[in-house]
Amino acid sequence: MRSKQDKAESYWYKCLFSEFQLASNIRPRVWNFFLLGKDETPTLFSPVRQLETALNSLSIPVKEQIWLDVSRLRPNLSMFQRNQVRVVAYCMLCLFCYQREISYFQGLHEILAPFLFLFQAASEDEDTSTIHLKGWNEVPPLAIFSPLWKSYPLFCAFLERFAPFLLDPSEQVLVLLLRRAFCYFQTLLVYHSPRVFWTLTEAQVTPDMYCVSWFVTLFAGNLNMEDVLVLYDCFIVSGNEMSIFYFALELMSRHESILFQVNQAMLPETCMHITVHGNYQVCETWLAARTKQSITPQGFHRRFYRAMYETKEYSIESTSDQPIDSLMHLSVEEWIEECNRTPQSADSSSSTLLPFFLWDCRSKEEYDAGHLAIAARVPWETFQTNPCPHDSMYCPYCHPYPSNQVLNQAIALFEPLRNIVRICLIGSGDEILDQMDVYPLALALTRSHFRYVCILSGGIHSILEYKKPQGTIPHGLDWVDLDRAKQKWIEEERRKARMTESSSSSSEARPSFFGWNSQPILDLRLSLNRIFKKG
Amino acid sequence: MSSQSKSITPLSKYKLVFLGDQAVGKTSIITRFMYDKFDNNYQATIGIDFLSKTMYLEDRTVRLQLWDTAGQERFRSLIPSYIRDSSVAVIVYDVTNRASFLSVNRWLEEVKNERGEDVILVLVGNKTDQTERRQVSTEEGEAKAKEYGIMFMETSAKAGFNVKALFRKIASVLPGMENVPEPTNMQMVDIKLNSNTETTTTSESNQTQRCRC
Repeated sequence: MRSKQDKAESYWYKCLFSEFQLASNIRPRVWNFFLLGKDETPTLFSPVRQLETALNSLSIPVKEQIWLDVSRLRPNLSMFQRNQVRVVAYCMLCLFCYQREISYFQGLHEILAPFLFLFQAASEDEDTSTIHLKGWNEVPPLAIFSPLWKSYPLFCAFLERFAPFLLDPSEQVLVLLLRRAFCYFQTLLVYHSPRVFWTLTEAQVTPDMYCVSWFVTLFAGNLNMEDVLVLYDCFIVSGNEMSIFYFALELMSRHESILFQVNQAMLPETCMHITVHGNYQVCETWLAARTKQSITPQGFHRRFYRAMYETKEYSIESTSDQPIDSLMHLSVEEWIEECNRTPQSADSSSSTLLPFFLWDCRSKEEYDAGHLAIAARVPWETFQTNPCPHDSMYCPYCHPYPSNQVLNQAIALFEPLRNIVRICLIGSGDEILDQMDVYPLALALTRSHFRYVCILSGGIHSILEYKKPQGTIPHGLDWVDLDRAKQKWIEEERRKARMTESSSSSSEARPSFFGWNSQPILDLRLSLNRIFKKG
Repeated sequence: MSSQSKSITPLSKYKLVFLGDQAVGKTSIITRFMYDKFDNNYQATIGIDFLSKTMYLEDRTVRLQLWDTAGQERFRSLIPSYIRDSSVAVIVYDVTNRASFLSVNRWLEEVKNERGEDVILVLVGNKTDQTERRQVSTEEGEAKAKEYGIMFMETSAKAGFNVKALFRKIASVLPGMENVPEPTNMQMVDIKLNSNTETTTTSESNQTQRCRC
């Protein structure tokens, strides 16, 4: 069965991307195969009993709401102006909410529309002029046997597979999941399109402003009907649930020039109205999104997937709405995996995989007391800076934070690598020390629009604590000159210097030659965290 | 852009957030104000929608950023973050739907929780054209507004009744506008994005056009 599925997938995948859409007469059958595993055209589904119970059990306001929404669904398409289509859509949404035990939410009707549209031709043939809604609880008999019902099992299977995060009965969990999607999306944005990220962040435009409709209607509310069908072809044939989020990411990247030009005050509405038109553009965007997915660190991708699709984790995390740091953080395992990932994998699009570089951001002294063989070092001490009383070019005691002057020189050093390698920065892993080197540098790089910047979470400490899986020697974990006692001593000294600095001197008292002008960066970090904590 | 280059005075930006139950006519009021048109079948707003309008008043330019929120219960916990930083909160109810009027208290609480006293509140009873279906009288609306000490107005987005007046009234009480006479013959310029998804790109975002107001 599996191999049949794989074969079919590769066959239809080829068909889809040679024509940039599936032919409308075979589409229902292909969707039926991929969503329900049935190698046949969708069959009629007549839910007489269940529908009756559903209509009786839902409250009148909910039914009124559903009716109102189906009656204003897709006003530009004549199919949805027909009463029988509206009645069937109404019945389907009532039944769906009843079966899934969820409250109806606006957006569900938008997702249903393309599934109804699949059977547009069949519905036109039926003589159903008498179908109309008489009472909220009454099942219009002819509506039950409408050929449109063929779409219902497909609609259910699609939602359950691609958007289970929308189907949680608890409103709290639903919103939590959406917020989580926004946070992960921000991280993707800063990784792939840092300039877009910073443009939006500076204008205080957050994903909860422009992504809601994308994620809640799975783009059905944002694209023309024909384009939604093509996008759903891509989703269904590839079976890639996460392409919803990467498609959104690609939409933003694709329109970045508009976002950079537009007046800051216009950014929210500009983001809102970003869309694509035509089957070719949809497919092209989807393919580019897929490439973005393959460049994304796989560990992060899996975490995102688990957070959105593995329902068991919902309840555990639902109480703690932790903001996710905007920058891409990788654990040691994820970093090793990324390091060892090669473009030869089965995934053809990963041929775009870029080299992966590890940069040690600690001071020279810490680095000399032990570092990874594969890590390059940021030569802080060689950067020009204002003189310090200790007669050192880069003195960790006088310059606990790198100044903009220093950061600019570090960025100049990275310049040849801009967007052609993946950069992983590593600090000591000590929160105080990391705020002095690795975080400012990571932020400065993304602010200078460097793509593919990530941070090794927990830094050197986490690598030292990392337990190698038995029998394997992961590439990249060879140490040079490791002296843990010395390392600890230096870290302690730096920390002390930092604490003394922050407690003894107010900002006015700080001598200007300390180059203490990286405060804006730290403030930005704080403001970012505030944005994530929104709500 | 030539129309904008003339303005010397700094541009003031104000955020107006529209709140209220579903289908009370928030989108209709905004569309009537923006484009002076009405449609019986506005699609449900999912999450939020944004529109900006630049008003050229006698001695200043004011940009109103209209935040049209979704009225439905299900995503209501997203709303507080939309209310944040707003200068004006317009709470809309449907005069033909008592339940939407009863929800006004909850919306007011929502705004107060988020903005305290730093916001101009306006209560709007919409759909006055449907006189035979009215369930909430003007007096009740007025009483509610008086109780909370906020502005009140009844409108009909369908008939175009009082919509322009509503925005004129709001413009006159915006912070920093106290000394400016209530605009009467103001010129308005739409900064219009291509809100119609059936057309090709958003590149027309800077297009300006005169409105019929």
